[in-house]
Amino acid sequence: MKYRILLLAPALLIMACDPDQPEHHFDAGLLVLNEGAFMGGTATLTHWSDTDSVTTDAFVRSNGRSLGNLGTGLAVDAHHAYVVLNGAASLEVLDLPSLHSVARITGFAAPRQVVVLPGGDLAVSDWGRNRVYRLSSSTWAMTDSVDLPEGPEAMMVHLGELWVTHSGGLGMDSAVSVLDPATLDVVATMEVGVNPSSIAVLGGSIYVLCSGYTDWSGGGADRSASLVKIDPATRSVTATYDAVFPADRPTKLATDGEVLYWIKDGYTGDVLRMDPTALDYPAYAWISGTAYGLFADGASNALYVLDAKDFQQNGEVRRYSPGGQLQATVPAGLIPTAAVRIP
Amino acid sequence: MGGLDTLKTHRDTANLKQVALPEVPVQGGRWSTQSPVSTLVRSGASGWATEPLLRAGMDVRQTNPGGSAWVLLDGLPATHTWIEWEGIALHAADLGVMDLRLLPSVGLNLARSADGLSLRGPQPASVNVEASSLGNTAASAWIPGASVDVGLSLSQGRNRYRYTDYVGERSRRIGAEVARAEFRAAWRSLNAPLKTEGAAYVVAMNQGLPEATTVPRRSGAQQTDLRATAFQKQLFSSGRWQWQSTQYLTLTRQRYAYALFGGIHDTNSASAVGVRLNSDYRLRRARIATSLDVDRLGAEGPNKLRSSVLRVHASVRGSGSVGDRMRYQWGLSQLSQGTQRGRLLPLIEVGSAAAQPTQWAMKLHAHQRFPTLNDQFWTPGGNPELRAEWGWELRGRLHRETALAEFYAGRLHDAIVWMPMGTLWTPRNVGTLRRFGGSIQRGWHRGSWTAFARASAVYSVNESGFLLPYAAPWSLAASVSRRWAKWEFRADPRLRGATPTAWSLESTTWLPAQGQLDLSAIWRGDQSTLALSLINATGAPLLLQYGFPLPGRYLNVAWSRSLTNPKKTKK
Repeated sequence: MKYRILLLAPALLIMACDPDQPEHHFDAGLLVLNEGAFMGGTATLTHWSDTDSVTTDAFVRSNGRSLGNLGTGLAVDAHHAYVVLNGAASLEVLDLPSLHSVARITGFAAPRQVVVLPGGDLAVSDWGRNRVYRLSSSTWAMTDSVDLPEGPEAMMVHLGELWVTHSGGLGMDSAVSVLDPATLDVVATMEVGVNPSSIAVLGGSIYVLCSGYTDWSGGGADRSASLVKIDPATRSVTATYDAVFPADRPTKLATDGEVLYWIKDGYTGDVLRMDPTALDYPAYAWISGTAYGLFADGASNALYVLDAKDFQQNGEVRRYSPGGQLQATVPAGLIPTAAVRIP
Repeated sequence: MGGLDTLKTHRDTANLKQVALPEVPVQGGRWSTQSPVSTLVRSGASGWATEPLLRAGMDVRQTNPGGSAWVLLDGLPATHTWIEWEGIALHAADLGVMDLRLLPSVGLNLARSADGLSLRGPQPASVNVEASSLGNTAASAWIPGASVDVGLSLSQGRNRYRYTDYVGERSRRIGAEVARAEFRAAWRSLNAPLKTEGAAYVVAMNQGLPEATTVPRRSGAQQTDLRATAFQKQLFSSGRWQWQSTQYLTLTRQRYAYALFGGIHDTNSASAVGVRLNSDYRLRRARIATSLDVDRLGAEGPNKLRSSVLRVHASVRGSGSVGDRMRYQWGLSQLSQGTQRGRLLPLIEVGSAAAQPTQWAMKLHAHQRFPTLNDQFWTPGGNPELRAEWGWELRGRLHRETALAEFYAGRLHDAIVWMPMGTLWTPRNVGTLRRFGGSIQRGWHRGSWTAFARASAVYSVNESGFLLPYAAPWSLAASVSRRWAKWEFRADPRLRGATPTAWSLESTTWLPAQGQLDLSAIWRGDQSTLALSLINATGAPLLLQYGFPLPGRYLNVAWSRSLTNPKKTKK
């Protein structure tokens, strides 16, 4: 036994001295972003591997520090994961599979979402300045930006174009912008429903979920929510599905490539499901219970429901089959809001 | 700088103004039974300092020295901390949480007892000056007279200190400046058998609300507070019968301004006006007292239309003694707010007579707290249908010489919790709080040495088993001092257990266990006192709110001069 330890010692030393050797290795699986406490708190990452091991504070384990305040956006490509911190006004670039931070980009006001552009550069939407930034994937520097209408929020790349919804920030808007990702020039703007907050592509059509607007002053300026279908070729609205309940404020549109899912109403709500051939906005819940975030896995068609519970205790992630049966539940951090699959 | 005189409490309070009537039988729905004071905190030149409150076992929530501070007592939320002053239970009609920095302080002591907190006087006439290496300075003067007392306190804090942010970078605090001004006056007249007295205070405070360490280093929001309270009371005494009428008025205004994101600006105001009628009849060894309070609470702001509610308290209470060794107290009270009538709140207390060397008391009572105006009328989310929180508490107390032990147990039902409902955060009666805890403390005095130690523990959980946010599960505090001629050298170590800041076991929402050591050298002349204090002498990381580190080691200098001629007061 002694000799085995002696033989292993040099190898351990070499591994310990190798700066490129990742200290942690997060296998293929689901990466969940937890917002963290609103005041003074910090976002966290939960990793749920395909072998069903769960790491609830993956970022801290890899980096020995916190992510920063209020995580809102998450994206991945083949080599990196990108985390948007709205409160910390920064973007963390994490190496895969170690989740080691290789860059921390600051200079935003209130960033919301991140998307990977063709060629690997990044686009980041920023509520604070009503702006979209492009970041270089080689230097992680801001290389360009464009000022846009109120509340640039969700983004999606489709057929080489960058689609941006304008959720109105703290007010009201109803526009979707189409940008040339190379120049960030606005090539088209479309009018959709009120406060478009999320976007997805399914079956060659683009779907925009418009959350509607509540006039808290009691002035009667409430606007209903809707799901809008766009033909990307003609950039025209081909269908509008009005929400069944005028008071609902749906969020978090997601698709697995087969159907659409979203959350019925705001902070917590049932999950709605809509087949692209359906003619009407769904009236009944597909999955009842509280959901704060969704991830629809295109590979397995599984649906992951992120439950923030009471926003004070740890949340959980539930995996459902395409038929809506609960398959597994694992713990998450405080207020799980977004998830992606890491390869 | 404020001091903590636990050991001398009973001697000090003996000199305090004797209150003829049981002033506030039910403070915010909690019975006040004139319990003996266990801890007395003296105000400093800048108002109420945090260190002595923590040493006294209170839970304080604060982001920077001199900034807004909220206190939790005995495992109950801060909304249950009402602070009695001159018979009036001071509170915030809109928020429900009373900011300690908006309380009157000059010439006053903060007394901690089984009933809660009360502000008591009088302090002798004095001038006080204070400065710290954080760039904070303060001056106050308290001049009591035969028929009129006046006091003034002015302070400003720059709060220059270094901290480590979430990426490990050292930065200097910005946006935590505080300026505070307070004026207080009291007056009295006697035209037997009618005695009239009154008091008023106004506090104006402007403070920067610093950003958390998990966001970029920048100046945060600015908050400006104005609070004024005035009361007038008439006391009539005739043999066995006493009668008192009190009228009071409180006005508060708070302005909030945040320059980022296009600017957020709002102003909220609240008011309370009330009348109180008390009577007290003494029959041999027994006594019966009645009280009727009628208060009109109001609030207005951008997130609520002008709203107001009428609150009525009525109570009857009796007390007496059984033989020479035991005393008793009973009471029945009811509160109502708006159209909602509260529960009957009974009280029963038995204890030893005052002359016994070992003092003990047991108290069982019910309590109630009505929702605040924000709970009911905030837009969006306010819930006018909220019921009052209610609960009961059993409390025991044992005291002999310098040793004191207290325990309590209770439940709180229908606790009001803000929670999401669809797109809306709204308060609902959903929580149940189960709590028990206690404290033990003892003092020693031998030759020139004096020592004191206190241990407190509280277990306050909701129905899901989560601990009450911002209530430290345990805390230890000690004080050791030695006098040498006119000098006193003192060490004040304390420890505080890891503390949740949310109803959660999630580690990112817990404050870590922390310890602090304060060292002081105090010189006492005939009329002057000079105190040099090294606060947080070990430079330990301290947090009273998640994401908002307090200063490391810093120096505080306090000078005080008595304006009373010692030759005149000596016998």
